[in-house]
Amino acid sequence: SNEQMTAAERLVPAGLKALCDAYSRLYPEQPNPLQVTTRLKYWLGGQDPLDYISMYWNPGKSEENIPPHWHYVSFGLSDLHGDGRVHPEGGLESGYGLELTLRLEAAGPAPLWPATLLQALARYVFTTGNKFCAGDHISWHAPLDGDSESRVRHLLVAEDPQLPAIETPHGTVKFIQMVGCTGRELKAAQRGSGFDVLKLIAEDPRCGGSWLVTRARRASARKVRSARTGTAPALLAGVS
Amino acid sequence: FNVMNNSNLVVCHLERNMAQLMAANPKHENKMHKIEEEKHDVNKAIDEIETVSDVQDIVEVKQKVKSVDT
Repeated sequence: SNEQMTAAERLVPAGLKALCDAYSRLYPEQPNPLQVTTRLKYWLGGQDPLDYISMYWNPGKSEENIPPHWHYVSFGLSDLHGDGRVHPEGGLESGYGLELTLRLEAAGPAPLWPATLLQALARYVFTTGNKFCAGDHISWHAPLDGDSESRVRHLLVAEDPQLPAIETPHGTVKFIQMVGCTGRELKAAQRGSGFDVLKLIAEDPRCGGSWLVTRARRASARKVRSARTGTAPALLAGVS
Repeated sequence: FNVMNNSNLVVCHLERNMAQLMAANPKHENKMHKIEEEKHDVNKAIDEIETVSDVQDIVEVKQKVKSVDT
């Protein structure tokens, strides 16, 4: 069986295995999660750069107002294979040096729209070469879940609170979490700091808690709303 | 089944996807191995050619040196 294990380890590419291990450490009780995968892989001419997006169930922490949610984690912005088929070899970072995550409050089965959203964001990175960093904001201009009543129509970028950066045989990988936000929160981030808005969202018990769980149907965080009328600190931050 | 009108996206369990990947990888490895072999053969051929030309260069230089001596 040692020989079989060696063969299995050899056949699962090192970059992919490093991500699987990182996700398994967080969810050891879910060794076989559902994944959204691509029929035609990106290196064979497919349009979707993320080979896999795993969907893990996370119970949250009710005592901290963190609701139960689905945790979507990507495979493909970092170098999974290390053989130059997608990313150039070498360098300190593995591929683009990041993978995307998103947490979505949901009671039933995992909705699949976050997978298409993450694929679209990954396509942007591959097309432009621009990476996402914590504190960034993304104007999406459409309800993330396709529901026209949702006010959550844009994204803020944070570091995933439960997935620290890892070292892989192909370089480092950070886990960058997409956080749904309202138009008002986006404007506040544009005027001032994305980190400040993330903090306000995390502190509002109605908004997903400190793990920044996206709630598709929520209003703007309270203090962001009040900051709209008193924008001086955010404006001054840009002047200095 | 297809995900949100994207026929390229499908939902499967991780173990099944990894099994498919492992089944596909030897083919890829073999292909890469053949490419490496071909590269090696080409490099070897180039090396041989360079060796022959080096020898010719050396012979030419020796002949020139001899002609100067004489």
